[in-house]
Amino acid sequence: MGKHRIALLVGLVILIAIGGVVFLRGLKSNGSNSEVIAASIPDPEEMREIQATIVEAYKVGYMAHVTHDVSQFPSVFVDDPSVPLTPEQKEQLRRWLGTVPEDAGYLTYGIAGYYNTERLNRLSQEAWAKARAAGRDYLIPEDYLTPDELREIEKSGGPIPTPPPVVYQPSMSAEEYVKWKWENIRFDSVVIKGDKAIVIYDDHWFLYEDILVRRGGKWYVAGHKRIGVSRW
Amino acid sequence: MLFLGTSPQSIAGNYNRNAAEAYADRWTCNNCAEPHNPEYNYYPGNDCTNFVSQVLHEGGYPYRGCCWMFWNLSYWYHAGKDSYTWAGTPHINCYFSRYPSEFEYKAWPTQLSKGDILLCDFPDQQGNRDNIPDHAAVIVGDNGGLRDQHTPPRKRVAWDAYMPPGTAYWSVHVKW
Repeated sequence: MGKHRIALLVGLVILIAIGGVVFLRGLKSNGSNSEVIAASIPDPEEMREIQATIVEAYKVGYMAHVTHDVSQFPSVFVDDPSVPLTPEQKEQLRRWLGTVPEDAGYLTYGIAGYYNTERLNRLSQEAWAKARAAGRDYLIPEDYLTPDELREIEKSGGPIPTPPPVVYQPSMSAEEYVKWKWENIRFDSVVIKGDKAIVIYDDHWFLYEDILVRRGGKWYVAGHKRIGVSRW
Repeated sequence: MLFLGTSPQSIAGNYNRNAAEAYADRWTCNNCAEPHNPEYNYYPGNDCTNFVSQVLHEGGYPYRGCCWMFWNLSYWYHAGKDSYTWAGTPHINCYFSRYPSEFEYKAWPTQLSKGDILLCDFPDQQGNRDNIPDHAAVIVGDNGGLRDQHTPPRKRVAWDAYMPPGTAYWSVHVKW
């Protein structure tokens, strides 16, 4: 009788272990390309929703500079007091706004960054328009510096500042971008703890950590930072 | 005419693009552990500009300055302590811009030849950029169009492979 009980117990443990492996493999093959690390057994739908929120965030960021409209940012980014900006993000915000608002989070950072990027894009376009008008396919300092700036550099003996880069006119549609992003993102881990999720992913260049928060049943990106180099 | 009072005189020579390309191909790879030449310093996880500088130098572009000048963005050299411009992406861009007779900023990456340099400013998740380069790579291939790089290592991939839409470029043509 004792032997039967032990055999039954061992069998039960093996069955549970096999079931666990099958369950986790099912999660990995449900269309999301992730490995799962979770505080508790995650809901595959929830995992997929979190990953889709991150891809949506990239799309919203990309489209803002196509449509020159930042109004979609609050649909996917959020300021959350429990997710502070990194020191580098705070420093950038200080440069753009002259101050860091007390309640500034990732949404505020993104909107301020949007206006700064639009300004930089205009400077690039103006410089390259001057070069083209002069029949050149390369930049010279006169294209991107004002006469006053040039005089000051001559007076002081330099140095010449770096020129603005070339910015390609975005040509992908929102749908094409989403497809491209899914193909170029690999989710390494998703940890869900209540209404907060920490996601690590790779985009062929860097490893990132995003922090998402759930509000009213919907996930938002509240924090984003580079944490390493691509291992993909 | 702009003066470069804080900079040394311009140097002149013939850049050996074949030698630069051969070196780039020799010291990178795809889907591999990043190879590195033990004759130079190595910056794991942050080696793209160090790699580009090695390629430039192996193509015959000479050091400018040495030793205690590491902080000065008008100098470029490898030593025990490399110059900032040797291994720092924003810094090498400052160096290029200070020598317009040696480096030219072209309109498009497709105008570059092998041995030329591509600097990239990636958009972040929110589509934003800061006009400060994040990455440096070397153009290779007889008609340009391909790139070699470190961090991560890539060999002879299309110049725009994996580049996020919205990336901005400095296409630096070596005139030396």
